[in-house]
Amino acid sequence: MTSSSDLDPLYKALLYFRINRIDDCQVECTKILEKNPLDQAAWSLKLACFTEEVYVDELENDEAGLAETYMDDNVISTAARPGTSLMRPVTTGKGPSPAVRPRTTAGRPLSGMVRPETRLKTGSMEKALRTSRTSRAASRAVSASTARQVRLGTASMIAQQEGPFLNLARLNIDKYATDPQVNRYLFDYVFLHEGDMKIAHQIAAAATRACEYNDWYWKNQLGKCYYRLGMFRDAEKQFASSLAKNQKMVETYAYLAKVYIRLDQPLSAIDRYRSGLEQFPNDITLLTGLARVYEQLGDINTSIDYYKVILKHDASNVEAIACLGTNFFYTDQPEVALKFYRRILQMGVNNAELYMNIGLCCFYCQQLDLAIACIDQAHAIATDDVQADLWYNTAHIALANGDIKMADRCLRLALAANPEHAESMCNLGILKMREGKVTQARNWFHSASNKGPHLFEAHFNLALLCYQV
Amino acid sequence: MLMNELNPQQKRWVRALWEPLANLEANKSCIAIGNIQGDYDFKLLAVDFSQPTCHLKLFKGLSVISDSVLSDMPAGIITFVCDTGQLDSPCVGVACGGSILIYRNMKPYYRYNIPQQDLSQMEISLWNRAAEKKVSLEELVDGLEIVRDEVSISKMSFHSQHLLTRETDEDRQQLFVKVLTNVKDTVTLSNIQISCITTVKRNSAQLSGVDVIVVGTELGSIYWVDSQAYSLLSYTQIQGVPEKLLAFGQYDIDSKTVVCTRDGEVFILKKDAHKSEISQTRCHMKSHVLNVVKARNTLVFACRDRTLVFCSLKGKRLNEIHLDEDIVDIEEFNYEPRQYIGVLVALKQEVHVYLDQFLVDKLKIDLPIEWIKFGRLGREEGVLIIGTTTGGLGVYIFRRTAILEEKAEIAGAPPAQNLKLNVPKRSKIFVDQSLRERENPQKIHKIYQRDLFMLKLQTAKTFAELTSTSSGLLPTKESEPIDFNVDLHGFGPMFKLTIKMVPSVPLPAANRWIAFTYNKDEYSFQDRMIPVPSRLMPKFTYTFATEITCLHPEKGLQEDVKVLLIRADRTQPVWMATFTMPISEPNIL
Repeated sequence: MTSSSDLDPLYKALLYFRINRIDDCQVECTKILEKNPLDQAAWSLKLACFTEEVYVDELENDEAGLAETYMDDNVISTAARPGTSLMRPVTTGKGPSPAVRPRTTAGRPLSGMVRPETRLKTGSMEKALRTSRTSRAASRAVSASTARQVRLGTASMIAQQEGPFLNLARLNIDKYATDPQVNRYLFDYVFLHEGDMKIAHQIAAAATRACEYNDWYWKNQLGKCYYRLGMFRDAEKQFASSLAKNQKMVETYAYLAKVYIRLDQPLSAIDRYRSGLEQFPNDITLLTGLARVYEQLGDINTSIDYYKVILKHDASNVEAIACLGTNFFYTDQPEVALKFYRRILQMGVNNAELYMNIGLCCFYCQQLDLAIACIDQAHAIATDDVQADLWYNTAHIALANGDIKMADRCLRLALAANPEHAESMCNLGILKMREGKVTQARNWFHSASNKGPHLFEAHFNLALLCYQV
Repeated sequence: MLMNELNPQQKRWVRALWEPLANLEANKSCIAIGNIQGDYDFKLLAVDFSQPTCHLKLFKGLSVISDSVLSDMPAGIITFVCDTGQLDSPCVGVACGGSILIYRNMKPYYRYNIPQQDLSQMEISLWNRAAEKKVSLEELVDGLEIVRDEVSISKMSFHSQHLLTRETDEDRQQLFVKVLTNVKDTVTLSNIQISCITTVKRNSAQLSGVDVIVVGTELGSIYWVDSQAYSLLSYTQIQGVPEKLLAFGQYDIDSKTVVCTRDGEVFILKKDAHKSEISQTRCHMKSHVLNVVKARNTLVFACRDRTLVFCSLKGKRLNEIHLDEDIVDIEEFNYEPRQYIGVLVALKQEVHVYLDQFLVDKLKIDLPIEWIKFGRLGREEGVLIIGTTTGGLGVYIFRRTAILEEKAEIAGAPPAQNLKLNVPKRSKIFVDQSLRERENPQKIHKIYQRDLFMLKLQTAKTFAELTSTSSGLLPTKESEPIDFNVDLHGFGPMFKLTIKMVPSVPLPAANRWIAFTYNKDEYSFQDRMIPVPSRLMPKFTYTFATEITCLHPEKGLQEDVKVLLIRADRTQPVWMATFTMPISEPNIL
C-alpha cells in the first residue's frame, strides 16, 4: 500500500478505472479535484466513472411506450401487407404453429431470448387503455421517456447524495463541447447519466460543428440524441451522412437499422444490415440484428439460419444458443435442444429458467433420471418473477404423469405467484372441465381470455365447453 | 379439401347468368345448343310451350334474339352438320308429326317427310279409290274395318284412324269430305308420328363431321336419315315405343344406338361397317328410364325409382346407385381441359356430379329444376344451363381452376389418421440416448420415481404452506367460494382500482370488508377499507372501486399493494391478492 501511495494520483485513478474498480477510481478523482478543481483529466475521468455505473448499450436500449406504439406518427401504411411491417408478422410462415410453439403476451412466437423491445399492436389503443395494468405485460408506461430513462435518473440521484456533480444549467456548453479532450466524456455523462437529451444534443451539435462535420462519432451521437427525442427522420439523416461522408462503422449500420425498425420498416432495416455485412462480413452485431428482425417478422426459419451463422463465428453467443435451443425444442427435437442448453450451463449461466428448460428437455427426450432433478434445482434457485412459469411447467410434468391433483396444485401455485398467469387459468379450466365442473371451468376460461388476449386456447376451450353443454 | 366440401358452389361453379323470370317452358328433348349463326358464339335453342302455339326461340345469353312460330307440337329438336367440314352453318331440325322441319340460319329451309314403309297396300288402294270417287264412304269404312282386323288400328294411317273412331255417320261424312278436298287421285297417307330424334356422326369423330339423323316413331320404327341428300339410310323395327334415343360412334364405321322405350325396355342397336343389317340387344330395366347418357365407356340410365344404373356399352349392368330424391334429369359432363367425363344428375334443387360412379361435387340451385343441359355456350366451355319448373333459366360455368377429386366412401380410418406427421430426422444424439436408456432402464426408473416423489412432496409442501398460512392466496376450507378480479386503470399519479367479486354459492351473512395494505409514504388510497354488503347474492357481480394516488411520481418507483377480504369474526383474511403498481407518470397538471 505504501508503494501505491507514491503513484501519481491520476495514474492510480486510471489503473482503478482499468481494472473496473469504479468506486475507488471515483474517490481518487475526487481527491485530485479537491486539490485542483480545474484538472480536466481528473474531471473527465470522474465523468467516465459516473457513466460507467449506469452504462447501457444504446443499441439494445429500446422501449416503446403506449403512446409510441399506438400514436405513431411515422406509420406509413395503417394496413401493411404481412411481412412488410413488424406490426403484422407473416402469418403463413413455415415455422411451427402457435399450437406447438406458444406465444408471448405480445403475440409473437416464444423466443429463446428476452429482448427489450418487441412491440406488436394487439388491438386498439382504447383496448390497451382498458387492459388492467396489474399484469406485468401491461404495466408499461405511456411513453418511453418515462420508463427506463426515469429509472436511470433515480439511480444517479442515489449515487450523488451531496447534489449533482455537474450543474447542467450553468455549464458553458460551447466551451466544453468544442474541446476534443473533454467533450466525449461530457456527452456520455449527460446522455447516459443525466438523461438530459436537450443538452446532450447541444453538446453533440457543437462538437460536430467544431470538427467541421468530419467526425463520424459526433454524427452518430447526434443521431442517438435525435432517436431519443423521437425525431427518427433526423436521426436517419445523421447516421446516413456518417456512413456516406465519413467512416463506415459497424455501429452506424446497426443504428441506422434500429431507426428503420422503429419506423416500422423492417425490410429497409434488413437492407441496412445486409449492406453492413458487405463491409464487415460476418459481424456478430449485424448478424444478430438480422436474426432478430426476421424473428420479429415471423420468419423463424431465416432467423434460425442467421443464428447458426452467428454460432459458427462466435461459439459462445448466448442469444444464438438460446434461440437455437428453443427452436429445436419446439420442432420436436428436445434431445438436440438439450445440447444447446447444456452449453449455456457450461458457460456459467446459472438460473432457474435454464434449469427448467434443461429439465423439460430431459423429460421430453426421456432422460428421466435427470429431468426431475433439474426441475427441483430450478425451484430451489427460483426468483419470484419466474415462479409462476416454473409451476406452470411443473404442472405439465404432473399431467404427463397422469397426476391430476398435483397438476391442479401446481397451477394454483402458479396463480398464487402471479394472479395474471392466463396460461395457468386456461389449463385449470380444462382440468375443471374434465371433472365436470362446468361453471368453474367457464369462469376460468373467461378470466384466461380476459387476462391473456394472446391466447387462442382459452377461446377455443370455452367454445368447446359451450358446445358440449 | 375441407373448404371445398363446405363450399362447393363457390369453388367449382360460377353462376354467370340467372333469370328466374325468363318464362320459358320447355322440356329436355326440345333443348339444343349450337353454333347456329355460324359465328362460333354458341347459343341456346329451345322450343317454348308457354303459349298456345309453340315457338322456336334462339337465345343470346338469356335474351331471345330469334323467334319463329311452329305449326305443330314438336317431339324434339336437333342441330346437325350437313355439309362436310363446315361447322359454320349447322342446321336445326325440328321433329313435328311425321316430318322434320329443317331450318338454316333460323329460316325455314326444307321439310323432310319420313317415307312410308309399313302401311297396308289394301288401305292405300282403298283411299285412292275413294279419292277417285270410285268408292263410297260406307264401302271405305267397311274396307278399312277389314284392314283394321288384319293389322290393328294403331298401325293404320291417321286418316283411317280418325275415320274409324268417329261415332256418327255425319262426323264421318264431314271428315271424309275434308280429307278428300283438293285431292286429285292419290291421298297422302301417313301413320308416322316421330317420338324422338337424335344425331350420330357419319364417318368422322370431329365436331364438324356430317351427321346422320336418327328418328324413332310411335310405331317402333327407327330411321337413319342422310342429312345431305335426305334419303333413308337404314330402317329397323323394335318391340315398343321409343322414347329416348342415344346414338354414338360413327354410322359408316361402327355405331350404336340406345333406345329406351316407354315400357322400360332398353334396346341397343348395333350397326357394323361391313354389315348393313342392324343387330338388336334387349335389356330390361326395373323401372321406367327417364334419360340415358354415355360417360366414357358406360351408359348411365336415370330411372324413375331414384336409381342411377351404370351399364357397359353392351348392356351389361355394372352398378346401381340409389339416391334419396327423385331424379329430374341427367346430362353428360364432358370437360375437355381436364379430361373430366362424367354425369350431371339433376335432383329437385341440386345438381350432382359423378365421375366414374363416384359423387364428386354438389351444386345447389335456388328453384326446382326442370331440365339441365351441359356444353358450350357463348365462348365458354363447360357451361351448365338449368331450366326451372317456374320457367327460369340459369347459366353456371365450371371454373377452370376447379378440381374434382374422386373419393370412394369406404369405411375405415378417418382421413386425419393418414396425415403424415412432421417427425424430424432421427439424430445421433437421440440414438445415443436411447442406447443409454436401454442399458440401464432399472436405474433410470428408480431415480425417476424417487425424484418424482420428491417433487410431489415439494409441491404438496408448498401448497400446504400457502393454505396453512391462510394468506388467502389459495382457496382453503376456511376461504369462501368467491371469484375475484382486480383491475387497475390509469397512468398516474391517479389510478383507479376496480374489484369485482362474484360469490358462486350463497354465503352466510357476516360483516366483510375489503382492505388494502400499502406503503403510506408512496401512495394514498381514497378508501382505506370498503364495506361489503353482509348478504351476498350468488352469481351476482359486486363491483367496488377506489382511487389511488401516487405521491411521488418523479421517483419512478414500483411497490406492491395487497388487497384483502376480511371478515369481522375471523383473524385471518378470507382472500388476498397482491399486485405491483405500475410506474406512475408525472403529474401533467
